[in-house]
Amino acid sequence: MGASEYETVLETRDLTVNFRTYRGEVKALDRVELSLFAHEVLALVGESGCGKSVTALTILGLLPQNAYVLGGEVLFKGEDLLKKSADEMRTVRAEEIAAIFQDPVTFLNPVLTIDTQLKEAFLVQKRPLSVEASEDQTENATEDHDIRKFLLKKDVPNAESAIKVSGRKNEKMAEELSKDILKLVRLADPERILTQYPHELSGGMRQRCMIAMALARRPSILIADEITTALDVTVQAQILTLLKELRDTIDASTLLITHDLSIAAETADRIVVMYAGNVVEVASTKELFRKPLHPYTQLLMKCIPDVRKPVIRLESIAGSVPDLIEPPAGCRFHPRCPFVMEICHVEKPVLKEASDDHLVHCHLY
Amino acid sequence: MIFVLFGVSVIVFYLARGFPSAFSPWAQYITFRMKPSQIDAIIKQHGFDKPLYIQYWYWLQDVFHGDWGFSNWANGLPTFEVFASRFPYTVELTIAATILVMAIGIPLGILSALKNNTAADHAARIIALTGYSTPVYWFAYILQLVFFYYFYMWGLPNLPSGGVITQGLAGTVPTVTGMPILDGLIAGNLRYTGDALWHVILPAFSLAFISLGYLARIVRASMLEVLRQDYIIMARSKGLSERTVVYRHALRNALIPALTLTGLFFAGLLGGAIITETVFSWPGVGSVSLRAVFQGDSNFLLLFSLVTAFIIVVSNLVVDVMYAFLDPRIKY
Amino acid sequence: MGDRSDRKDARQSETQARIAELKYGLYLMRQNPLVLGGSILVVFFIILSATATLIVSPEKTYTFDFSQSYCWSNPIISWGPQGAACPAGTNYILGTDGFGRDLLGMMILAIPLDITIAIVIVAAATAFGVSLGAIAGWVGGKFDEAVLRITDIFFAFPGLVLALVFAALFGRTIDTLTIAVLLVWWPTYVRLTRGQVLVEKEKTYVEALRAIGVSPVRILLVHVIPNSIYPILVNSTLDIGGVILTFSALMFLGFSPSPALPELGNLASDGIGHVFTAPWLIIFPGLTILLIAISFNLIGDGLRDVLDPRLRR
Repeated sequence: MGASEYETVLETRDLTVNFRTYRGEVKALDRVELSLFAHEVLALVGESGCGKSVTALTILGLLPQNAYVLGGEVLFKGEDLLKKSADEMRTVRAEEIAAIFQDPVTFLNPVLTIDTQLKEAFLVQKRPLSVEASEDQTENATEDHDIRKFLLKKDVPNAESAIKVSGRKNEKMAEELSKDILKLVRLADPERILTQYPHELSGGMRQRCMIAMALARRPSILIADEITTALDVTVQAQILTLLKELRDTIDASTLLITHDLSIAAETADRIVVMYAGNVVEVASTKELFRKPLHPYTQLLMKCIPDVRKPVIRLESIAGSVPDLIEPPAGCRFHPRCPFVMEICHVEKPVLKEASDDHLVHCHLY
Repeated sequence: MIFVLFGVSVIVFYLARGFPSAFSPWAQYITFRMKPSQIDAIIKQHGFDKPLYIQYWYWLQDVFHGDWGFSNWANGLPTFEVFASRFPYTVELTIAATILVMAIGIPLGILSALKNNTAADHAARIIALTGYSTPVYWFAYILQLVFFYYFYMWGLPNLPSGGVITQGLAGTVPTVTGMPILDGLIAGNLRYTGDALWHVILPAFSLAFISLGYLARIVRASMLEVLRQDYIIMARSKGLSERTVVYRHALRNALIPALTLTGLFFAGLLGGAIITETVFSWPGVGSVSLRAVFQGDSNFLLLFSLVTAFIIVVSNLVVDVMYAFLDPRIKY
Repeated sequence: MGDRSDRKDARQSETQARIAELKYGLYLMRQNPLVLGGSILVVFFIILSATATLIVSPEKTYTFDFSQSYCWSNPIISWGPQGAACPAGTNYILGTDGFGRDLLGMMILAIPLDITIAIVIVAAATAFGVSLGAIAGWVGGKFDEAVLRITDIFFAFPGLVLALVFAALFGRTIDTLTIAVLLVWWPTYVRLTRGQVLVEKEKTYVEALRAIGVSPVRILLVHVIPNSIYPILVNSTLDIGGVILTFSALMFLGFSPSPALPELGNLASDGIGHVFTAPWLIIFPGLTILLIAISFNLIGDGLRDVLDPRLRR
């Protein structure tokens, strides 16, 4: 059931987003194109300020007030999200696209318990939490397999219509499911955690709670924005392992945003490389590492020190990230590109397919 | 805290008793019919001819025995009685004013924050600003003028110009707390309570108007700050309705500083009541303290200053505790 | 010599940075319509104060013609039968007071007095409070604690009480009244400055300056205090309004040196007994105070919004 292997769940076309600031307009996203296929993990990689988070926020419809979409589309299951009303977007965020953010200390409300924040994630959905509960009135279902059924059961037939579960039953289900879902994200002693406040938990535990809050909504798309950046390395590994485990349990695609190529290498099926508001290369993980085509990607790979060889000096890319208020003309990478040509100063390249499923945004190809 | 009270008492004592040419401390104990020899006797009896620090020591001793001296200008009653009999009225006024401040100030601030930089925001800010730019005495009189006099002239039901309760009803209810509204409620006498409420509206509002501007401004700033936090983005990303985001997530964080400030307001309003009470002939402690100042009654001034200082200091402590109570991140 | 030119360069770039910030601040202020309105009002009042004696001649306003007490002759507004009519041929736009003096004229004369006194009080409170607070915060230790305790005591006095007692005691000249109000306002600056200095003290640039060997006094005066000045500025501007309110309140309560003194609170006090028969006496001077206070508060509020580092951008 569900989507076929290469069906596109989410697609952005020509997405251009600007920010109005005192010093001028920041051209944050410049005709960004990316596609997210069903059941895959797509990594969005790039350095700070290249527009990865902005892309995520645009998809979610959560851009700040001084940002505006200059053009483009965000197609989700055939519909353009940018054209949706605020209420419709809220439903989308509640049921279809869930986000996990970077630093749970600031992203969790300090004065509300985990229980409150988790329950509201369950109860914000319009579709009932369990068809079974309404059918056979079972109120004692607390086993693990139920949570998996719950997570996979998102195609509740005619969710808005026939089956109406009472609010109270929904709340009871939410209570049961809260504990189950915390167990699912490998948190011990869920009862106690539910009563605690965010600052009483460790970083890794908080991040797992955030993941739980995202899963509770049974989304089709999971957007993970730098979810491991604020954690130390061991916890980072645990979270990534958790994500890999959950891949099979949930019926969703993941958009993994990170600045760390190694994380992308470990977890993603395909990788999108971004630079200064442009998508510069798209390929499967294997392909990208085997044969990076874009100069930026190649330089990035060189920067990763090889454990096998003795390191003489650390490599870096000459120059610095361009100012997005006055971006360079033509290709935005040309000031730092070792292969720069005449045309790169003048004309913007187009994202085109260089080889099988391997897209590049460069005049070299 | 003891130090603060000590300091306050020292300063007031020095000012009130240290300059016999301006304020004569024995003025409270003599009548103009006394002969000079009697006056001298009284001076010696109360030790007013001794150096100031000895006088202070005598005063301290007296106070520990509960003797705050006499206030001649108030029918020669013991100072403590003068104060205690009027204090509940001031408290009633202050509580009423605080309730008004919160009831108007907080929604105003929230409105300002939610509709930031729109016409509604500017209007709300001007109202708040006008509040703390208004001279209390002027506002009190304007309220009286409009709501008492002009309403009467125009045939509208008018609010009373002063006093706590209509003459006819005074004394019809046993005095339990000394506050008419509460006494009326305790006695179950609705007419009395209603009348008392009717009387407290104008004075409470004139007091409240000044302070609600401050509260609104703080609530606004606090809300704006909170609405920019990451957890609000998170809440919105869950698809929660804007109402839920504001009321469940934002407000609880934003109101913490505002509520704690209300405690301080209460203390401040006690002092500001002086003018309001005078204008509205409110038989509280403030209206009387003005007369005490003019009379140079050091006894009364000391009692008044110390009580208000005590309340202010205690409010500060209560506010700290409240903060720890409301914010789960703080452990005390 | 390399040392000195380095310092000069550093100071130049520091001033350049400050100018850039100033420009940004002004830009933000221009954006805010409330601040704009406030500034216009303030400028209006200041010009009015400066030219007050040109518009209204004090001698004419001080004519004591007892036959004209409490009259009102403005054709537009009518206060009803209570307002006694002025003798024919005279035109008092805002009526007269009990001594037959033209209220509008008196008010115009009173504005410069009020504003000047307010500025003097705020300047004095700021100067004294900032100095004390800066030293207390910088030096720390027992001195700091002592200063804290003293300000605690002053804070425990509710509003007017201290000023009232002082004023009642020491007579009714403008100077003593100024000091009375000063007593109420200075502790805030001590606390503010102390807080700011404490924060600045921990910053790395102070440590760096100390390492170079700059004298602590110089660090305090030239670097720390200017960097802490913003909230103090905001507070001062807002206080001008507050001080006018307090000062006029004192006058209103009866502490004015003489009933003839052109001061807004004093003018208002004249109307206490005649609230219902001659309301213009209270309404207009009070309204003027309100407007002056609003204009300064608008600017202060706008300044606060602009200088709040978190609300910028």
